[in-house]
Amino acid sequence: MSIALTASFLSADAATRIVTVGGAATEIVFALERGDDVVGVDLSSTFPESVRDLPQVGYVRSISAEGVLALEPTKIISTADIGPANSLEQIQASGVPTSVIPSPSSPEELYEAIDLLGNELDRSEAAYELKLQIQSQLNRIETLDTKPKVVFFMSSQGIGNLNAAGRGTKAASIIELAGGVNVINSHAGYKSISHEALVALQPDIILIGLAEGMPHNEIRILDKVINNPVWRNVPAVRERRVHIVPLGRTLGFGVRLGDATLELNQLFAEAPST
Amino acid sequence: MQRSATKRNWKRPVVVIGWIAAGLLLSMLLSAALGDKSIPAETVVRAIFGIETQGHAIDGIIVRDIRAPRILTAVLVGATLAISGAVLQAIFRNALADPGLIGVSAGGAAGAIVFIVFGSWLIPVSWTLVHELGINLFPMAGGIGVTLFVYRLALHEGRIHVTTMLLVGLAMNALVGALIGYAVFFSNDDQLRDYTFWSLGSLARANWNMLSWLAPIIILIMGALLSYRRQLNLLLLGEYEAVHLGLDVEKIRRRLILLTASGVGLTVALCGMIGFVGLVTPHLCRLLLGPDHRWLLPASALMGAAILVCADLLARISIQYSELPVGVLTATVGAPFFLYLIVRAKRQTSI
Repeated sequence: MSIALTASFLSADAATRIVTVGGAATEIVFALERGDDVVGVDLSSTFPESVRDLPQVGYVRSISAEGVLALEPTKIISTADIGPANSLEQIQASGVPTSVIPSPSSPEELYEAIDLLGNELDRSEAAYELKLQIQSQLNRIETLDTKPKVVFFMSSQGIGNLNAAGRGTKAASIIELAGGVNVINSHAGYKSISHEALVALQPDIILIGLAEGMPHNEIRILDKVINNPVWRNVPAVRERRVHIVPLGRTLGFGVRLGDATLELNQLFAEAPST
Repeated sequence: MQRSATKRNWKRPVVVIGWIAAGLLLSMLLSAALGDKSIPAETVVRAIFGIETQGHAIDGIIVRDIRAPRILTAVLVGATLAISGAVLQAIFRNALADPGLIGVSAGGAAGAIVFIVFGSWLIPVSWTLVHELGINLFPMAGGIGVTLFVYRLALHEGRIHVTTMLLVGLAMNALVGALIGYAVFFSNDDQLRDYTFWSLGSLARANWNMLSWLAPIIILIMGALLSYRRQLNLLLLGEYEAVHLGLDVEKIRRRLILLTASGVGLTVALCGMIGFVGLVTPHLCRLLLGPDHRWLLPASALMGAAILVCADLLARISIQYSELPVGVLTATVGAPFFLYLIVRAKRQTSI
């Protein structure tokens, strides 16, 4: 009896150990000032910088249940795209409290996720303030008279095709939020498009998403697009409006959504309308 | 004299198989004890025997619900791949025959991605059970279909023309590659990433629920394959010789191909593509035991199981808190061994 009591007393007093899976989940937990309790993250968590020193439990779509449980978490917080399904079931079956928040792809879903975690982590006030901050940033977005035509490419690191973001992608959502138009409407998801298509679409702005923390040569990537003779007459290339943007921040739809959108809005506002 | 000779004939194989079985048991125990979370041996033993693991509830769950089903799945899958490899090498009378070569894996992969990408469109109901069944049946059907097709085209006047079979297998792999390409093109990001991880091979999907229906099917298939051990020995003499000894070669071959394709197709469906276990294991066993299928088949099954259990253990512990796809590991070790076999065969024929 006394042993059982001590045990429960200890576990109630012991520090909270949180494992977060999914970039947005990690960002929100840190923004709500519970980052010190985080003992492990997944590969898609790259912000804030300090998470890179934490133990890795694998990529969000291929999480190892034992890896997560081995960190002896008292709480697991994940975005909804966690997989494989079996790992999530095993984690839930272990009895460790597990919260699955929606993987946000709009400001509304982000606010919902922040609210959920605010309640979960006893940080309702901080959650409220975080939401206000993002909202006020998004309110500062300039409405542009003529929406610039934008194409978003996933970086190909100098090899292979240019994969352009189509309908239903997070890239399309943030371009819209920032006051532009994603001109790739012919497909959903990321597909390679032909050089000819880019000439035909005449985008005003080309964005190239590049993963943070990877060794790369920005100049070489830009060079490939700008010095391609086929694209001389594409407005974005002619006017040197080809920009490299950090992938995690731009497409993460985490707590940096306000910053990322404002930044794009700035780039869009500078573009002369054609 | 006669009696002691026959006695010596079975004594050595039984001892060798005993050692392989002991190795399998040891690798299973090791695999249950090791992992990201270090769990005291006592808790492991308690969990295995279903005794309450006081104060270590999570440790008990990890051993019982995560590691145990995974180890048993590795045993079943490894055994199926290896015994199928041994059978295919005998019926095609070719040392390089492997489930991958005759299209089971490629057909399985095609079935899987077609279901992952187009499944919700092909099956317009959202019942979990139907989709759970689909993800397993599609790769199985793909594996069996492609294998039968390769077999049909390679058959010429009752004989399997090995060169034709290899070329047809090659062509089918290319065709299936194209089909996979279409599916990849029409997939969205999540589907693509799911397919990528699936194709690398992993035992992470293993759980008790899956085992409860997988185990009986695999054991039935394995039992059926073992029952053909004598016919396989006759087939080794050559197709004409086997026919003259009263064997219905055509029928037996068709049955065996159907059985191996079902077994391997099922493992491909559950665990993705785990290469080289089926190719390499029978060779190792032949080095130890010779070509007699009465011993070769059970030995291959046990050794294949042990190899996959060890490979999965390595996959789990090589990266802390995360895991490597096991198919990547078996290919890393298996492909160089395959090259060694080719070089060795070349040297022997040139001498």
